[in-house]
Amino acid sequence: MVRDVITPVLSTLLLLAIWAILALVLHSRYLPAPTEVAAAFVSELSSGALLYHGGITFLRVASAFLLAMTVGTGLGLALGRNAKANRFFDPWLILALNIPALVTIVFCYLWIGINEAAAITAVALNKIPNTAITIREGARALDPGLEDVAGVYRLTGWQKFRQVLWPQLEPFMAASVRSGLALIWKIVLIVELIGRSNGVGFQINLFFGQFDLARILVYTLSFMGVVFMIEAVVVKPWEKRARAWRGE
Amino acid sequence: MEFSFASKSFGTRKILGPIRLSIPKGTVTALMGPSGSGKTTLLRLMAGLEHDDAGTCPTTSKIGMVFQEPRLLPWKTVLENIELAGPENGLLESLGLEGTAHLFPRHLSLGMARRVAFARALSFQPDLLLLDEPFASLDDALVERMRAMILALRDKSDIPIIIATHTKEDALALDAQTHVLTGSPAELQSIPRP
Repeated sequence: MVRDVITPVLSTLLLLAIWAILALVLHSRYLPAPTEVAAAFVSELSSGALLYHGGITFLRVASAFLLAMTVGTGLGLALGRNAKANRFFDPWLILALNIPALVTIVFCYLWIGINEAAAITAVALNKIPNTAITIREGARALDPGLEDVAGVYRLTGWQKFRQVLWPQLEPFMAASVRSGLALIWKIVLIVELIGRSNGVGFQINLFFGQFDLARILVYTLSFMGVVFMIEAVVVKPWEKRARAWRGE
Repeated sequence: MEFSFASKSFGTRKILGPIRLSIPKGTVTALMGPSGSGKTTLLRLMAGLEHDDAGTCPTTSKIGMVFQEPRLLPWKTVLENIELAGPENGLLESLGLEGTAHLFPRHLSLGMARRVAFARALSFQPDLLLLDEPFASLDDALVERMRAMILALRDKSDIPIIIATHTKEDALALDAQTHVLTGSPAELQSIPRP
């Protein structure tokens, strides 16, 4: 247990030390020292800019995530449970999966307009195929024998979903949530960089123009921290609970 | 209890011919036949898990079914698996499963898992109990124990019990009215008791 805490802390401290030494040795404006980044962090936090832009980005990530997970899960379940629909729509899904994120973003801004709806739609469209494919595999792996049990004992639709189907889908959902979080926030930054006037992506673009790498790192590391916290506080405990019956 | 089905096909292959079966209360009925003769299909028709070729699917009665495999939900404890169908009401104790209530199915032997599936079917308080090859892969002592449980259930309730089996021994040991599935597509033939 102690080792579980100490090892990642030591590993992070080592990484910081390597960064500090490299910054000291290279002494370049293109590699700010950890102390410079910490000072920029305090400055951005005290001015309120970090919370404002971070908050805007977080709302975009949350909206796109919810939209992508809802549509992708529905689509994945439908395709996983219906072989004919899957055969028909599989090429569409593969096509959607391979459209570059940038192209989706550009088309959404052109078709919908440079606004919030287009930004969130563009991000969600990039994630929906991944979610659909993961959940489709989960739906294909459902045990028909257990559905017979639900049928014999006359479980209602909700009871069947909650007690028989959901526990089988949960590991696939957890995998999709994890990859979704990692993917979506990166795409949100591109969306903000191209067509929004606020958010972490916008700030990174602004500081890129000023060659202010310390502030770019402040925004990047701060949002990475938020995603890491969601992973540690929400996703991992959920996954642990969902796998408890396996004795893992 | 009366069952009447038209034929049953999977794709172009007709598995069962027309079936009529009368099940008296408080008796055990054995459905016999070799593997692949359609015993499980007939039980599934009775349980309402399949439609016959005419679209008939009897769902009016409460039917408890013990499948060939225990089919316990692996993420639920023994007690939760039983309570999925109905109240436990001392079934664990009466089936020799004391102390297992909070175990997960992965902790159970096949024999214990079968008994939990049996308890689940009984907790449903069924009007008819279907048992699909309930003794498969069990050792002799456990087979005897489960046969005794079935006979005890028959004696203390009037729930008709249908058991699919491929051995005459089971039918004899359970003093069962025996029907054999023969032919292709299979039809039921009654066998007079010895």
